Amino acid sequence: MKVEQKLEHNVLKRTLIGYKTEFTMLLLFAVFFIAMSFASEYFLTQQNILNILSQISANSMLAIGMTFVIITGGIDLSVGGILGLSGMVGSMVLMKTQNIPLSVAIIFLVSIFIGLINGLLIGYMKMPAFIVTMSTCEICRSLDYVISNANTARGFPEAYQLVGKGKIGGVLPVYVILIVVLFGVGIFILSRTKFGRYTYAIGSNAYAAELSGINVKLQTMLVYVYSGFMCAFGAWIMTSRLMACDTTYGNGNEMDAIAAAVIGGVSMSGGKGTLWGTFIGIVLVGCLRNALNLLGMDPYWQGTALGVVIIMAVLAERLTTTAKRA
Amino acid sequence: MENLLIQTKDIVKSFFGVTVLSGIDFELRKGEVHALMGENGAGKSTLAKIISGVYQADSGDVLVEGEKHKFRNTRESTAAGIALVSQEFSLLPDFSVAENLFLMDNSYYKNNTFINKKAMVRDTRELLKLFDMQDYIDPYTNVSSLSVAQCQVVEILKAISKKAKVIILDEPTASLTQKEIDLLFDLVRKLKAEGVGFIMVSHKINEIFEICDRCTVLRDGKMAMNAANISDITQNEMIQAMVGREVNNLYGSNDHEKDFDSETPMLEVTGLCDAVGYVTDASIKVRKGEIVGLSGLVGSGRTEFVRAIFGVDGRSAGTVSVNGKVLPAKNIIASMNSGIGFVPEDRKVGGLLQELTILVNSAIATNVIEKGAFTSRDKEFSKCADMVGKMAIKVNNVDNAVKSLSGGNQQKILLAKWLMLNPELLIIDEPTRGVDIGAKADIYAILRELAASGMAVLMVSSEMPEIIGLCDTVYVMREGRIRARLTGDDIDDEKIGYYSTIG
Amino acid sequence: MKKFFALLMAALMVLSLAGCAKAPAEEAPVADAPVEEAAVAEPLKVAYLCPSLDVTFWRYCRYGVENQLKTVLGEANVEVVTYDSKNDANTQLNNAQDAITKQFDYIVISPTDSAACVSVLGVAEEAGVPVVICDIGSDSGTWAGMVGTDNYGGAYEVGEYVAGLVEGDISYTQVTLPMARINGQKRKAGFDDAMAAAGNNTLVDFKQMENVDRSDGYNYGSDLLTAYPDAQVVFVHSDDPALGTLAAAEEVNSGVIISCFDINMEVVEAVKAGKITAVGAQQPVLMGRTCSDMVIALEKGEAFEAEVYLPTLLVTSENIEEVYDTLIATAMTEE
Repeated sequence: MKVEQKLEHNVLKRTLIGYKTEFTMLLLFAVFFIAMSFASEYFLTQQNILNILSQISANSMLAIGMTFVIITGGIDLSVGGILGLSGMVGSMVLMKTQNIPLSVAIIFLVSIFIGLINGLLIGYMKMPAFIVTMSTCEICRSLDYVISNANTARGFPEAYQLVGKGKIGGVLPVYVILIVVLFGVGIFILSRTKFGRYTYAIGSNAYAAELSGINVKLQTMLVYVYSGFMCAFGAWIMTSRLMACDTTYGNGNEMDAIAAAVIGGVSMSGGKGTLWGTFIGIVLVGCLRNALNLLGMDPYWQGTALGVVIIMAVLAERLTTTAKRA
Repeated sequence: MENLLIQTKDIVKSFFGVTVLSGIDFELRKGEVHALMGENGAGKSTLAKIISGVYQADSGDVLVEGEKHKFRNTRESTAAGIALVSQEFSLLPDFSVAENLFLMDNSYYKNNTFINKKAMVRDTRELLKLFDMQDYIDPYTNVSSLSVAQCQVVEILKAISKKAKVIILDEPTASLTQKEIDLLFDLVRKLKAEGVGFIMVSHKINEIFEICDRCTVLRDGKMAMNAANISDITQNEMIQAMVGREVNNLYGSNDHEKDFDSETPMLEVTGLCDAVGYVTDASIKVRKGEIVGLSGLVGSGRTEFVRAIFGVDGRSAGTVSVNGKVLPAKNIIASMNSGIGFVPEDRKVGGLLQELTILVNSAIATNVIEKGAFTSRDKEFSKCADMVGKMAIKVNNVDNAVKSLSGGNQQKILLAKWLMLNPELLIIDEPTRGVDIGAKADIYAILRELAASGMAVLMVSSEMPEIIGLCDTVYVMREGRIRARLTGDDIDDEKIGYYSTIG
Repeated sequence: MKKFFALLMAALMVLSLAGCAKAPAEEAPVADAPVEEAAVAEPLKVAYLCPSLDVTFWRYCRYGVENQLKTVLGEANVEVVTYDSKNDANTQLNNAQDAITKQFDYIVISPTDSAACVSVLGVAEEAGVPVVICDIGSDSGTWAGMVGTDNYGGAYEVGEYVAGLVEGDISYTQVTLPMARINGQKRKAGFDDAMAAAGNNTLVDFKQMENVDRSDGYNYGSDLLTAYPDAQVVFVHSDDPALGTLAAAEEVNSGVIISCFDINMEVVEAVKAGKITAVGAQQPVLMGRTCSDMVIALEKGEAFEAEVYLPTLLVTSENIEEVYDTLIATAMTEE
């Protein structure tokens, strides 16, 4: 019964199969990018590309965490709320103490703490992620008002600009480094570590994952903690970029993060998707918003254009993948 | 012939350029049960779906009572008197039996609006009485609280109530107990006598010989055996037609001669009660090199028992020890570390991560046990390739999703995932459910080989031949308790049947 | 086939985008432009960063900015584009970056809040684009011009008028903007000071709104009316909330005198009907026009006053007929 079989071990082919969705989106993105370069003379300038990266910097942090969460088959609606609250707490401390390391540490503590609460309720208490994170989002929004009394936090020390505006050697902005490094770390975790593999396993079939010996409760909790941790980066970048913080920060940002992941081919039912896809998704959304502005589109119509593009992107992806299903 | 219900002529069907059926000539007579056999992927379900209008043939004709039909959907085939009873039921779970039978029938509505429930229930009762099932199913029960067998009966009755002349049964007995199977077959016989024709898609050869009149076998989308009379062929001939090669003795030789009683047990379970109460005071011993079978009816607590042993569910009493070391309750990782592998009963539900790759599925249990935070593709690949070769798994590319494999190969991957841990004890629940005959033979051979190399195997199975053919020792369970321990020549149909029902 | 369909969709997506973008360009009546030296030069490009196009007040401002530029310079000689910040400081900064990329010559901004405006001023200064601020103001940074409203003076005027209507000591309440906002503080102080100057009058209580919408006005208004049925006057800090408070008062047949800051068409009708007694109407159209005047002065190198606080227009049930035309022209046009 021993049959010698030759297994294909071809890296290129493997990549093409494994990342089919991502390549489809990349193709769409390339088409869009080239079309935009012709449509607006300002689009393909160094400054504008940097602007786009600056504009997506905070949301891309949220999208990284969101991707992990969606891969487990969950959803984190609280990322905007966590960003707002942790940013506000950190900013108020910064305003009062002018101590940057302390404030940044507090941003991370608050974010991770709320992520931990999400994780405990969803992982260990088995509550639905949608309801838990929707509620923690409301709580965060409310606490945001309570602690700030609806005041804007302002008057930060100049040095705080580093993350949002600073440039290494006067050329390379810090937020670009953060985007590259944190996406890189996320991609590495998802594809090369057990943490990443368990994340996929839970999303694919939590029960089978449990029977394989995976600690599903712990892993689920850790994924929400990770999402909270990424929100801290978002809050840090956002407050540094604007050098102020008011209660509207982070409002609705969860939708951008979800949109980015979905456009990039992360399946809402879990178990499928990569951060490469999310990266393409967030850049596509960023470029689109920027493009609409550069083309001088009526602001009333911008939401429509964005919605249509999201639907078309997902539809195109759906059509190219179902065509293969026999 | 005048009494032909269904006749297909030279059916060809392909999906996305891959031909799955070609040159299929099938016929069904009035009042016969015609078996449609073949390995998974042989095209039997596709043929059944073409006859019932789910799919449309690329070329060829479907004749119903001599008349050419081109069904575009199941509604049209239903109108022509063809009903498909598949494993995915078309019943509405939150409606009663009576409603499910007559919901779409306008004659039960007053003024086309208000439901006449009384009439529905009355007619349901009558229908049930016709087949002596008035005590078996209550018309008021919601379908969601019926057993699988009851659902199947309701599906068939629904077909009857719509004046079906042809009923296609797709794997009707896959999850039924022997008693339920008998009941179902009684119903089939009664309807057959009234001239209804049955097409039965099944894997279970002994059932085919029990109920069917003729048999058609497909292999790789082509006819491999054409409407042979069951009485004229042997089981081996049928298997040969299905797999295309000779399969000598599916189970290998089992002389029940080796005596394990004197050896020290590798696994010892004493007085186990599970937390929920499905299992009471169950004790078993499994020794190195021994294949132990756990038999009994569905619902007798077999699955719950092995789950409690592995630590999936909690226990309220009793101990489980491996090599003399007591295992903590409800701790899967401890069980894995002490050398237990666990292949659960339904690979779709608890076994495989369907969307993930073959490679990941084979490696996931190893990941849990090995130290370190990182995964190594090269190591995993060589291990996986090794297993693929050893177990003759048909795999083109380990980076394809595991769901792209056939049932038999999925089961082998699931087995491979646990064998990679080199377990001392393998618990395997329904080792060959939904697996075609070729893969079945392979899995049996693997299990024997493992046992010969000193692994202890604890196997739960509903298939009697499997238990008798493979096991050295058999425990029979009924209502959560172990009723008998059989060894040697005591292992036979009769005794197992006796202890699992009354003894 | 499906793949082809997908690609077709992608192409359509891009085309539709391009199509949307071209539409505004076509509106510019190129043919009408007189062939003079002004038409030969590049048109002046001005971006208006609007905090929220949902709010009528800001739409009036937008109209003022756009109309003044087009009227004074001629439609062919100016390109003015409005960006919607959607009440979000981050979006505002994104829009500012995009406007700078698109090489606008001037930015007129109505900031989402005074703290976040600083970051916009920063990027504009880096790029050398002069900024004129329309209302709200900025915590710090450099700007070329600033137009605001005299909130204190306007509220004082309303207070003075209302105090004159009631004999004896007045107890009154206020439904205010969040007190964190400077305009809220000024409106409250202006009204309070006018009341104090007019006699022995007391503010019995005030409530801060969060969303500053009609439902806030209704909820806080009805709370105050229930808690202090004897208060004769209520001053509401904004127009929509004032309508909410009016609804609450009508529900309980309260005879309270309702006065407010800011105006819209519904408030005008209420004033005509005598339901709202006095309004300190800001003049957003005029504010927009003033900003545009500053931009034009900058472009031509003329001198101008860099910081202007426009008075409000006192609109009362008595004078509504007389001031109506002025009111529409300076405060309530968006077409």
